[in-house]
Amino acid sequence: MRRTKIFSVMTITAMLFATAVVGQAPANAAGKSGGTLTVGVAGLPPSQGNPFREGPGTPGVHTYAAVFDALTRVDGKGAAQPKLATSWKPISKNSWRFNLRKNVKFSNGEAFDAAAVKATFDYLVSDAGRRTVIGSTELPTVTSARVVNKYTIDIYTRSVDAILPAKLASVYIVAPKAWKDAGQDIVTAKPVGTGPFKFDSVSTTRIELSAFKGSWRKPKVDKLVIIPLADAASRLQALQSGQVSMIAGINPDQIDAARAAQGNVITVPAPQVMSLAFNVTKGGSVADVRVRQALNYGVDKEAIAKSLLAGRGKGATQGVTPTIHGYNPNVKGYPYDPAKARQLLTAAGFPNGLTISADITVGSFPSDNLIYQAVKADLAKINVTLNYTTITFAQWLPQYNANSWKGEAFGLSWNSSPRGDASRPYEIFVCKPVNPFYCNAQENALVKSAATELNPQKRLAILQDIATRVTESAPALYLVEQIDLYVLAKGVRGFSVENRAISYERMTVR
Amino acid sequence: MLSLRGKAIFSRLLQLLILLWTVSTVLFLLLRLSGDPAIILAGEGASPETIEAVRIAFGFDKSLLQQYFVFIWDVANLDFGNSLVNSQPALSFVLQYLPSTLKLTFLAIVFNTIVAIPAGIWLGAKPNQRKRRVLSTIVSVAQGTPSYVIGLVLIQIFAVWLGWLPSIANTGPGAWILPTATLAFALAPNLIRVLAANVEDTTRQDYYRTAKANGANPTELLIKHSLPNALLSATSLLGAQFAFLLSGALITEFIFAWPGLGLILVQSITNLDFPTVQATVFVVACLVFFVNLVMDQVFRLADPRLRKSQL
Repeated sequence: MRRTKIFSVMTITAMLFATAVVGQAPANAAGKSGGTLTVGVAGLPPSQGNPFREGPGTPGVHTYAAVFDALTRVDGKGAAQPKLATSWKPISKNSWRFNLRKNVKFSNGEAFDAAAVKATFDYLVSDAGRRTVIGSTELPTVTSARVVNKYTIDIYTRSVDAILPAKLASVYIVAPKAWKDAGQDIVTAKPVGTGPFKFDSVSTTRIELSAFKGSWRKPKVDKLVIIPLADAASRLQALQSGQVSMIAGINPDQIDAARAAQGNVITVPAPQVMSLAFNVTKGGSVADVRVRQALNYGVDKEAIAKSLLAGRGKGATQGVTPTIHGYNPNVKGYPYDPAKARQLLTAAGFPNGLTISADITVGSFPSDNLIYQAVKADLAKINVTLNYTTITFAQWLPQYNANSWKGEAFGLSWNSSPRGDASRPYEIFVCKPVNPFYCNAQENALVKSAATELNPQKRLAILQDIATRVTESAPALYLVEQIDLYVLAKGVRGFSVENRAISYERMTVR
Repeated sequence: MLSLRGKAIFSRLLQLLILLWTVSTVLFLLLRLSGDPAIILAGEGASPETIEAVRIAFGFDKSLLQQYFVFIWDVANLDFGNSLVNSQPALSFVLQYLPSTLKLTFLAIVFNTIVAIPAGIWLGAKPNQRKRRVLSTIVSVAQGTPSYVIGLVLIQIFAVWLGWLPSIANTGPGAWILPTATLAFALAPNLIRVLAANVEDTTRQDYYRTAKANGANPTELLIKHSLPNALLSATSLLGAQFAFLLSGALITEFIFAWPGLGLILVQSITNLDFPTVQATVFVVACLVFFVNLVMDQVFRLADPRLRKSQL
């Protein structure tokens, strides 16, 4: 009897505790938030308010697109379009003139003008700026900027840079005074840009922003909250339970669950081709182009895309996707043909097949782990044993930079973002300046000529020629054109995304 | 001449210093073994000039021994440098998230204790009853269930289906419940089983049988003779669980976006932010040390035999 009382007291105490806090359950963000757009993403920008310290893609772009603007943007066809710059033209072999948008203000009240643009570029070409990802990787050719007048600026490059306007889509313009006050190299908790939202608070688990009513991209919602939910399942559950209005990134096998929750699933072609690249320069079996081609014929890419990307992705035919400038629609790639694959392997001296080792990373793309398993199964049918080891990106990067792979292959994303131009993967992967895994002199010469060709038609022809050649020489087993999946809760409208930058200012919640 | 207590305190401080030096040194070597940090920091496709500039900027151009002495000197001054990704002083950045971790850890331990102690005693008192066997089986199954699954199931039930609780951190006190419950349900089975086994074991001891022969009633037997001994060994498990939670609640923090040290550690490893990694491990090592220290004191209070020994 006494024990029963003790247990009863404990139980009631626990229930009271639970009830006290249950009473503060959240409002339904999708339906009743009245002006707050809550977004669940895989991660917040690690460098918080500094838009130069990390690559221009995810996860940073999900936040920076709300706060900053670049001079240009790249549209769905890989062409540079106006943003803070309204027009541009080359004025010499190594300089471009940009005319800037007028009546634009930063969220702290500073005026946007040529001096502000110059301040950003002065930082990026400084020693400190060159140590940032944007200063070193995305803008290696830029040397200086010169103010012509209040709304005109010239940007100089050390050599001809045919697609500078597209490259500038990754350079966010920061408010010069705010940036200077923060000590330039010190990240502010409240970065200042010209975008539709301004930072209210930032932590590792949430960024809260409020509308910047004076933005030239005036937003429709009052507040934007960005929450990192690294796990795709918990992102979806957050949407299902009404805690977020939109999520970026789910797995294809979660599409049905998202729809069941009345989610509007939006598929956007990603500017990336998932591949297994071959360490060609190290020699061995994959140094023979017939082996590389055989491996491409030996994998049923369309079936993989259909089954593992829910039919929303496509088998890759080349190193770039159809939305990228320089994609060659005439290149048909390697249709699934195991007989031809075996024939090529026999011709290359491997009639009994061979073994390939590869280092891969997983978790970067939808279903990537399953895709690698399917590739392994397909290759086994042509007597090729694929032994792959899953490594982290921290392990991947030094091996990639040093080309110190022990095996014949490694996972590689052919990423054309943010410039939306085929030159990006070709410049990086064909004869990489240091420790290349693949190098072809003819292709490299074409890549270099594309970088300096100012005539758009001629340049497109060069890029498409490269696509043909780089497909035939098969430095990689091109797998699938990847996809990005977004889910909107019921009542969320106005979603649009370009180059992974979401136009938050157009969105509304009900 | 130091008193016995003074010697004990000195000994503990020495242990702490050795622990921190060992942890810092091993971490320094492991991070350097993972490759040239300059190549990693310079990023994908960086030019040799950029890599060299990064090397000089961060002092990686010096010899390993020089780097090590600079590092240890800085650690001794509690200076881990600035985070490579957000430029904030790494230690103060990490310490911002300490209260959050402590809160979750404390709540989970309390919840765990509330659930596990009554259940463990109940199971251990009469282990062969059919209904207790059923609970014992449930506990065994629960022990093998990953906290990831527990977390997602709890979210599905209480956030998605019932809509009672939020699953995202920083949305009010209600947001504490599911992560706390997830951790508690992951930890409780272990504690329940240990307690049940301990209680059952005490019933076979001479002092228990003697007390029983002298006419002690079941409640008296349980409270006076079984529990003190059973709880003593369970306390050591609680201490280990507390230490584990300080750094190991990672999965739960990931699922619930809980701003804790585990999440910071993984993010800093992913971002190759060495100063933050080092600062986080340093803080966790200190915490674990102090938890062990506190648990030792608890043992001393609970067990008269230990009071005669040193701290």
